[in-house]
Amino acid sequence: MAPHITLVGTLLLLATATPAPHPLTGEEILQAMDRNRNYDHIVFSARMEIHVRDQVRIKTMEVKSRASERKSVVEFTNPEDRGTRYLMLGDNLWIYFPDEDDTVKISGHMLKEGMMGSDVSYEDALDADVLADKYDIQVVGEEEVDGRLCYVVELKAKVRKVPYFSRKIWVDKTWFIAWREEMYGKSGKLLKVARTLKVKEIGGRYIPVRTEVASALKKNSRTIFEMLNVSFDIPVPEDLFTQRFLQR
Amino acid sequence: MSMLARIAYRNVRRHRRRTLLSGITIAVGLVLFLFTDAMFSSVERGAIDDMIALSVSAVKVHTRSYLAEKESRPLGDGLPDVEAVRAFLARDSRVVATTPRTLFFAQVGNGVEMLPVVGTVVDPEGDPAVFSLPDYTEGRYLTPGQVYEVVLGKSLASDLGVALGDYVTIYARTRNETHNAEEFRVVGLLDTTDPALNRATVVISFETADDFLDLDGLVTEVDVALERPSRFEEYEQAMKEVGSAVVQAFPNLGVETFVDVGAGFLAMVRGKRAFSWVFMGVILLIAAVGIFNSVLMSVYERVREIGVLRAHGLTPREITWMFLLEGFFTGLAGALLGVTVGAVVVCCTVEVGIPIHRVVGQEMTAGIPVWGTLHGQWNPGSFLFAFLFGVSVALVAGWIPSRTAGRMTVTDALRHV
Amino acid sequence: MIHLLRMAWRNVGRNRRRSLLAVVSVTIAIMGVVLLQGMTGGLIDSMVKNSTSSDSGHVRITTQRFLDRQRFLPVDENLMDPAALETVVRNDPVVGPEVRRMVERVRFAVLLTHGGKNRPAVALAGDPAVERDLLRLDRAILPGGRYLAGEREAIMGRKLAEALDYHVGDTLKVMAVGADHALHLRKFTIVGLFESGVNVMDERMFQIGLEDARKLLRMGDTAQQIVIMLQDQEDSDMVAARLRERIDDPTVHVASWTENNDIYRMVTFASTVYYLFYLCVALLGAIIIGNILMMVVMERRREIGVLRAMGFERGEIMVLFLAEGTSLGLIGSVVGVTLGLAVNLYFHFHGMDFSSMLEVGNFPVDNVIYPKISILNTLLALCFGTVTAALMSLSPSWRAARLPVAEVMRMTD
Repeated sequence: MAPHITLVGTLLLLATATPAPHPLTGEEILQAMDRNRNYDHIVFSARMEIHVRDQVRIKTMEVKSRASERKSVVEFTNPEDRGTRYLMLGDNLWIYFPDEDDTVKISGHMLKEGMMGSDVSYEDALDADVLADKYDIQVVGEEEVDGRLCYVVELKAKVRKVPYFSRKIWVDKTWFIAWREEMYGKSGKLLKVARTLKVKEIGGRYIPVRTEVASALKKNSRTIFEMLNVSFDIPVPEDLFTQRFLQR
Repeated sequence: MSMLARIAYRNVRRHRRRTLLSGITIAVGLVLFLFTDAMFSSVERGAIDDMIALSVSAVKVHTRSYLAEKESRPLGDGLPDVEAVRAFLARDSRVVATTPRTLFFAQVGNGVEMLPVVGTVVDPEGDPAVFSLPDYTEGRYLTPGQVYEVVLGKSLASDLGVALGDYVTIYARTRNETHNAEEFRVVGLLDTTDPALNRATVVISFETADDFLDLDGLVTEVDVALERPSRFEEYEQAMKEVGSAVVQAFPNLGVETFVDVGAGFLAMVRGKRAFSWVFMGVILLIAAVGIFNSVLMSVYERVREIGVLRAHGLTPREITWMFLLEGFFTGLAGALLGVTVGAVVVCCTVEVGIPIHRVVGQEMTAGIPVWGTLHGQWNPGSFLFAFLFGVSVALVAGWIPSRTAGRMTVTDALRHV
Repeated sequence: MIHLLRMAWRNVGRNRRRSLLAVVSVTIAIMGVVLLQGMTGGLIDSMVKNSTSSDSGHVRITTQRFLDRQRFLPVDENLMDPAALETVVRNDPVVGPEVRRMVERVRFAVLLTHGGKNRPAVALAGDPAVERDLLRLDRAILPGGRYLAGEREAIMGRKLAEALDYHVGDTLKVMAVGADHALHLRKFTIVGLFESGVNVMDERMFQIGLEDARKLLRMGDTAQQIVIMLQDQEDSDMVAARLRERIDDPTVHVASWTENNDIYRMVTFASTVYYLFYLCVALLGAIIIGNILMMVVMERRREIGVLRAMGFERGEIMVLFLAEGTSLGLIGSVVGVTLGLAVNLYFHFHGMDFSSMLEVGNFPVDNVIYPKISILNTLLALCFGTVTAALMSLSPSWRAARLPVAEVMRMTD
């Protein structure tokens, strides 16, 4: 089963238009979600709104990715960060700073920290969890979210090394994208909520283009991620994902 | 000679009031010297002991790799066989108690905001034998058997706006890196003499942590309390020896002693000691002048007597000796009195102590005598010094005028007023 | 009355030896009291300075919002126009002269990364020249390194350097979130490692120049905090209150170090202890003075008898001795106070350096004590000596004056 990448904390899922003929099991639902990401290359612009207490910080960036290989490059375009570039390869992250013309590698536990003060950690962004391997999956019902009928899928950790002990996902029955995901700690306490705010159909695929991740432990702490100008057809060459290229 | 001594002795006894005055002067000077000496040492010792009993502990045992990585991953390397280490330490007679602890990164919140802290997992039953946190806890300490209770530093609690009995959310990543958060009941507030502790302490029990952090009994440090000898140098030595014994017996373990961690603190404390020498010096100076003058005075009073004695045939040398001896006896009496009373006073300070908190004011310590009672410390050397000092000054004070008196002509002496 | 006083004065002059002994006793005792007064005050000042110079200073100006989030060391809650604030401070007729040093500082959290290792650390940035007196890390530099001298230089705690495998001469890459909420990088050269003995500093701190910090954090002309050290720490509350009035800006917070409960408690405790000791010394002084004065009187009991026989009233005799005792006390106190003041003044300007008495060369603790000069305390000492002498000559003379004449004349003592 191809691992799916969570890009900046959002499950990037594509929909198939195929309705299911029989009541789906949890695994099958997730597989359907996964199957919808059978793209190799993706290029898009993004806007991140980081809400912290009473402030909002806006980051804009250009993203190029070879999703299946877990390779991405990000270049920031907002005034404060302009020129800063990120290179993500697997579990590693390099950051290039234009002012000093130098690169720094981030690894280890610092990846677990919130990215730029947001509720999304680098680790979440690079996360390559194979959900079915780590969780027991069960469909517990159906609910409507924003007018769309969804499967409610509950995931409970079956191994010890998982970031979230349990999760609950509301999956669109037709498009197989997640409208809402709740992440719980071991105690059963709600830690984070991810919501899809806007979905777009691009080239036959349904993509959540506006998502929000919010902390359930802190007030006024949420991050909104919006994808613009999404394209699957622009080729993303291999040599883009090298440190040399990062520092050009 | 012995006749002179007897005369001197009887003179001293005869002129009781004069002797008493001189003697009391000597005694008072010495008592004050001994008192301040005992208390100065105690202030210094108190500060060090506080630090050891509150946070640092005499000896801390970790794995070597933990020592290297503790900044980034506290839930990493636990001691492989905690019981073996503790049993080994227990065999050393200097070891008073040992206790396991584990540190973890966490955030504490009140629903609105989360503050980053480093939490401590303790064994509520055994920890107080090594660390005196319960003595500084408002409310109560953790109860063995109860779970999801927490003791917070007082400043931390007030930053969060929580009080005793309230609940706080603690968020942490478990040993398996799983995110977790839970409500904890605040049962105690820690108000110590260390502001850093008051700002950052979060204490939970191993029983809670096994569930909350998937600890599985992971212990990352063993803290050791040692017998506290009177002299700090001995204490230091004991720490070093116990530490190296552990490292030799368990090669994969590393040790941090108070000396390693508290060097700067020790320096500051020792700086104050130098100041106390100046203090003592002034006391000694004043005492010396007092002793000197009063003995001098009492000798000059009796110059006419000297004339009479000379008239009776005593030689100047004999006169000198007699007064010298009188001075000596007075000094001896005064010094003995001073040292005895001084011993009683110091004993009181050691056993009962001086309630500083009452002087400082309860409002500031919010009901808990944080600095509490200052206890004195025995310095046998000081007693010896004080005794010799008192006698010597009296001797010198008796010698000078007695020489002058001895050399006076009989007629001058008789005429002296 | 006048004739009594004249008699008293002549008595004092007549028996020079006796008077001298009494005066010397009083002098030494009062000198000791004045000396210790000054030194204890100086010690407390030193204690306050050492506890506050690296953090709150005597008085500190920040924004209120910074204070609320202090724990996070925010760099986005800055004073917008620190230069203007500094001008207000300097130009104020009351506060201006009280200021000994004023410095802008930034303290911020960073991520250090080297050789595959990451470590969170705290950077302290101020004017390196001024920080020689405040942080004093220039004294803690280990051999092989040196203190900050120019741009893009850093000194680091030894334990922090060891953890990241840094050595003198290496390039230090500092990443931090700036005032613009963006991540920035700046490269430094490590010119020295310090070992201050203060664990917190050695394990997680490094010092850089203020300008470097401003550039890294995109702070422009703003300042995170303005730290003020005064000539006399006892004026902190007054200065803070006055500055609050003059700086009429609700977003700005002026704090005196006394507002930090924990440090205030510690200093109050220490001062109480030292002042208690000082009281013991004053007590000793009083006893010494009393003792000698009593002896002076008792020596002359027969004289008293003679005077009584001659017809002097008891009251007159007491006045006589009171006057004598007071004069002795006054002379002794004046000399004592003068001597004590002289010594204090000398060290007030030169400093009593205790660091040579200790083996603690490189700890950033200020061990030089400057005795405090206080006119009030000096006058108090003067009164103390005089009054004690007066009282102590009163009691025995009163008793002696009450005895029947014949008995007194018969006393051989």
